Amino acid sequence: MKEEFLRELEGLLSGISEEERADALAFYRSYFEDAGEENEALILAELESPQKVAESILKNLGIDGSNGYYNTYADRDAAYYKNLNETVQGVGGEKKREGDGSGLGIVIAIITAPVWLTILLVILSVLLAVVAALFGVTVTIVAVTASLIFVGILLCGVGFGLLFEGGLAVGIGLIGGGLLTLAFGLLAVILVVWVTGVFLPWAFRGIVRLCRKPFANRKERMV
Amino acid sequence: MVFNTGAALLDAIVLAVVSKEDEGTYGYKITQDVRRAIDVSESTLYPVLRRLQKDQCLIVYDRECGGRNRRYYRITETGEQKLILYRREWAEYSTKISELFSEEAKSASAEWDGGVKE
Repeated sequence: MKEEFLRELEGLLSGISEEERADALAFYRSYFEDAGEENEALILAELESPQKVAESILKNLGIDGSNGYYNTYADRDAAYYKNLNETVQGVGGEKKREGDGSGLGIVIAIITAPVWLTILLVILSVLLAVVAALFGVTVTIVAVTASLIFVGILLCGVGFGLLFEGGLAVGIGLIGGGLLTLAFGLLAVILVVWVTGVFLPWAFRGIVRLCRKPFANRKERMV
Repeated sequence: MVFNTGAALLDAIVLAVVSKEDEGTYGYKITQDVRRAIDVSESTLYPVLRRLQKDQCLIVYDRECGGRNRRYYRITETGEQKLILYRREWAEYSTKISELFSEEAKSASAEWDGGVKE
């Protein structure tokens, strides 16, 4: 019974390649043998006929022309993976275009050099001026602070000297003025500490950020 | 069962069944295992196995067993990858369907509609 079934199946599959036929027959032979003789009749009944089995095999190979259900799915899968590949390639393609664009960009950059070089120089000059101004302000503040403290101490010293040489009122006045000046000087020290410790780093960070901005933008565009 | 099993789901089921056996498994056993979950005719499985083999999701080898050759199927790396993909798709698909079917989802959806109208 089993052998007859397999022989008939082999005959029905004569239209397909040797490899396909051998594979199918090996499968069904192994299938019968694994099921055991006691199940042979049951399987033969379930398989219905060699014709039906042959049909399912041919359908899968797309030979009977009806393009089986399964092939439709396989095609859909293929389309899906093709799309996926194209998407990936698409990304690569865009990158390539960008590369070409930057080549053109370099040419444009060279041609327009007089314009942007001037602009760049102006920007650099302004930045330099700002830095110089900040530096100047800082130096001034430090100098004023130092002179305030120096003058304060000097006034105190002179006033103290005068205390014992008759000019009590003048001495006390000088000491008072000196202490007041010293107080302003100490306040100025706080200002200096704040300027050098907080304001200047902040200002320089701002300038550096400003300088980086064009490059950062460029990077973003490239990504 | 009243629901049809599409080819992709059949692929996934077969891959899952075969992947359970590290040493590989054979046609008759695969059919029995698949039939525990879904109702398929015996002639359905061979084309599926053949396709998966051609797609390099399964490899076939013969092994001596009781004086004859038995055809074994074992899952490949490609097959494992595909199975992961199928599992993910199925989780998403079955969750959505279950949500649609569940009574809770129904009331939640009605509530949501009401909220929008206000």
